[in-house]
This record gives sequence, C-alpha cells and structure tokens, in this order.
Amino acid sequence: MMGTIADELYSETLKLVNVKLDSTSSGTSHGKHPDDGSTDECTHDNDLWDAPDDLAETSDLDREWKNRREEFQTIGYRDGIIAGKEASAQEGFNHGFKESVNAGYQWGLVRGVTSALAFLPDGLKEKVMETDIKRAQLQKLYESTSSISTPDALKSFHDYIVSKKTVENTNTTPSSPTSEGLLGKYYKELSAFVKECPAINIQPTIDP
Amino acid sequence: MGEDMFDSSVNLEQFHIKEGYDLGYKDGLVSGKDEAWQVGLQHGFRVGEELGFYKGCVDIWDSAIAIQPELFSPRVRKSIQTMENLIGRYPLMDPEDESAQDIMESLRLQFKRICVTLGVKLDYIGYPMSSSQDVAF
Repeated sequence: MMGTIADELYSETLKLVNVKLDSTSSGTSHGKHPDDGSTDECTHDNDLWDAPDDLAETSDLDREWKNRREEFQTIGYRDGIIAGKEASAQEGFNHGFKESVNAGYQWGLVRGVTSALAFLPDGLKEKVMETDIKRAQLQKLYESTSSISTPDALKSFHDYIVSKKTVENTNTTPSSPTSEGLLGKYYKELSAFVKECPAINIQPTIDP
Repeated sequence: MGEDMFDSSVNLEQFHIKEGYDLGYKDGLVSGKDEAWQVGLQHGFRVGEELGFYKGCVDIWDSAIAIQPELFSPRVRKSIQTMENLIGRYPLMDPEDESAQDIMESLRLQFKRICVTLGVKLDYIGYPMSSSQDVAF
C-alpha cells in the first residue's frame, strides 16, 4: 500500500531521478567509449548553436508585438487627438477672440468715424470740421483707411500679434512704439484729429 | 484557458489604445488650443471691427444731431438711438454669449435702413453683407 502511494506521489520525481540516474549511469558507461563522449558534447554544442535561432524567433515575435502595439497606439492616438482638440477648442477660441476684439473695435471705430464724417452733407461738414485743413486731413485719413480691406487689416493685426508674442516669448528687446502696427498708427492719428474738433464727440473705449 | 488568453490580449490592446489615446489627447489639447486661438483671433477682430464701425458712425451722427437736430428725420434718429442701445448691449468680451448674433443682425438691419434713408453708401472692403467669409492668413 505504502509503496503504491509513494509511487503515485513521487512517480514524477522518481522518473526524473531515474532519468538522471540513467543518464549518469549511461554517461559513465559511455565514458568508457571516448567517441560516444564526443557525440554527447556535440549534442550540447547543438543546443548552443540553436540559441541564435531562438533569439531570431523572439525578435520576430518582438517585432510583431511592437507592430501591434504601435498599431493600437495609433488607433488610440487618432481618437485622443480629436478629443483633446475638442476639449481645448473653446478655451483657445475665447483667448484669441478676447485678444483681438479690442483691436478690431478700435480699427472699426476709425473706419466708422472717418466714413460717417466723409459722407456728412457739406454744410454740416464745415460745422463739424471748421477749417479746410481739417477737412482735407479727414479726407486723406478716410481715403487711406478705406483702401485697406478687412483681410488686409486682419493680416496686419495678425502679424503684429504674432511678432508681439515672439518678443514676449524670447524676452528680448521691449517692443518699440512703432511696432504697434499699421492699425494702431491710424487709430492714434484719428484720436489726435478728433481732439482738435470739439464738435466731434466719440467714446474711444468700450464700455465694460 | 483559451478565454483567459483572449481576455489578456484584449486587455493589452485596450492598454495600448489607451496609451496612444492619452498621448494624442495631450497633443490635441495643445494643437487644438492653438488652432482655435487662430480662429478666435480672426473672429474677434471681425466682430470688433464691425461693432466699432457702427459705433463710429453712431457717434458721428450723434455729434451731427447735436449741432443740427433737424438734419435727420425722427425715424432716422430713432434708428440711431436703437443702434446705440444694441451696441451697448453687445457682449463684446463674452464670445460664448448666444445673444451676440441676434444683436449683430439687428444692427446690420438698422444700419442699412439709415444708409438707405440718408442716401449714403457707408461700407468698406470686407464689410460683412450677410454671411461672414473666412480669410486665410
């Protein structure tokens, strides 16, 4: 009884031990024949020579895994970038909007004031702008500003904003007064002009 | 056993998809913000320009009325007053306010009405006639 249980429990171990014992015993028996011993070494050598093949197989597998990993990462990346863009779009839009709306407003004010003044009936024009010089000045300002299209104005403003940002980022020389852009120049010109015409009452700032 | 192996490979797929997603999301946040910033920059400038244009016109008309009240008919003066109120109500610093579009439409209508009555053509190259057109930098 005991023997059979032991056999059952340890049969695997026993088999292994037996194999080992067999191999050692056969080894010793083979040891008697040097030729057999050398063949034994050859099989070991073969195992060693097999190793590079195994490596090649694993690197193939690695490549396969790597490809699959990249494939799934790409799938995820595509969805992620869309979701990320959606998540930050409103914030970015609001930033851009708030950065440009005042400049646009000032530029629009220049357009509106000069256009409306230029199209006033002659008799009234003389009451609003008392001298010929003033009226000529206005006409010139009107003509130069109305020749600038919205896309051009937008481009001028965009270039200005980008250059301002670059200066801020690189932290080099502080922006000079002339870097305010073409539109800022016209706005200043109009402000100076209006100051000399007491009849014109404009509110240059936006009410909060 | 086979099911477990399948599950774990699915989990690994999910993991790699998630890995890519997180990376994409991060990049998307940055690029999306920048792209939208450019769009916002354009939109804000256009909206500001149009509103400033109306404000400039209204200010000059008001200055003219102060000198010569009988210059404009009561109807035109009422329209100018309406425009002034609309400009004051415009949510210029809140691009997400949905009332903006309606106010702008009303402003355009009033402005056109005044221009027709006065017999003047007050607009500029790029003045938004109906729908806004996009511009590439």
